[in-house]
Amino acid sequence: MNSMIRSPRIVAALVAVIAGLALALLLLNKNAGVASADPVFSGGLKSSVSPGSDTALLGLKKANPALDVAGARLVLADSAGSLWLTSSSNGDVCVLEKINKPDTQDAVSSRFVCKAPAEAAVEGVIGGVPGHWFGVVPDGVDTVYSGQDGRSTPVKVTTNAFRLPAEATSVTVPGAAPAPLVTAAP
Amino acid sequence: MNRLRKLVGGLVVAGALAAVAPSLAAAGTEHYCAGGLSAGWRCASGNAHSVNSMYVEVVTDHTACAAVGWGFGGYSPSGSVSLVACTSGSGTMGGWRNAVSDGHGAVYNPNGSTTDYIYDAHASW
Repeated sequence: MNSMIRSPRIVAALVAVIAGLALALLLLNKNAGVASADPVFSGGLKSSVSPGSDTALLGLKKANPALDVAGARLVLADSAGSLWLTSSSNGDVCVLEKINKPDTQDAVSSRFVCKAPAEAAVEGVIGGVPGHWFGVVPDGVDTVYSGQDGRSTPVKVTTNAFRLPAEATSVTVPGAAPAPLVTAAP
Repeated sequence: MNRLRKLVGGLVVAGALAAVAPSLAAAGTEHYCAGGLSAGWRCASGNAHSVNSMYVEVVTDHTACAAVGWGFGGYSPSGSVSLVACTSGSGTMGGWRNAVSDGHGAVYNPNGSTTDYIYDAHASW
């Protein structure tokens, strides 16, 4: 045994095997997104679109290469566009939005928002621009509350996802403090 | 021994390919505006870009918006910006805007009283 260990070829082979296994494990871990591993966001709809080959969604990887676009799950589709739940390689919970018809040629085609999992489990992940807000919340939350003009209006959550009315100035996820929203473009 | 060599070689090649595979390299990237951003202020990259598509991302400790700015670089209390994506609270946000002419990557702090800390802001094209 000692003579085997002393053999440079055997030692080199063992080092190479260990390096190869380490890289394989790294790759496996890289592809295991929070969206599938985190049980608190389990929603998903059937989709004929493969997010990993969709131009608008895949383009978000140019902004943030850590986004797991190919592993995204459709959670809402309406006339405005679609929302997709996924993760980034640092473990953040992320929601992607593909916009169906950008208003003008130079408009935004897609956007994303990510939040650390501990915060996302309480506050959800809320994103958008003034007059156009959306979000995802954990399993078990079926209603969030949109605040506007001193009133609070319930908004139904389906498949972990929701959109807020255009006039919303805040959103409240049950169990979390009301979150103010950006209300006017600069 | 030959089988062992083939196995080792295969694992090493597969690992090396996996390590260099990540994809979608951007043509260019400019980082800007890391640090504190005063309430109501905005900050834009030093260089303007005329590109078919601009991708922006901002990582912050408080509500902020990733944006494209026009006509200014650096910090400004009133520079022209077009919002791409905003958060509610801390987080990371960004997006893709088509057909940008003389645009700067930018970040906007919409709060009336809170200085945000920008961990990273960058534009790619």
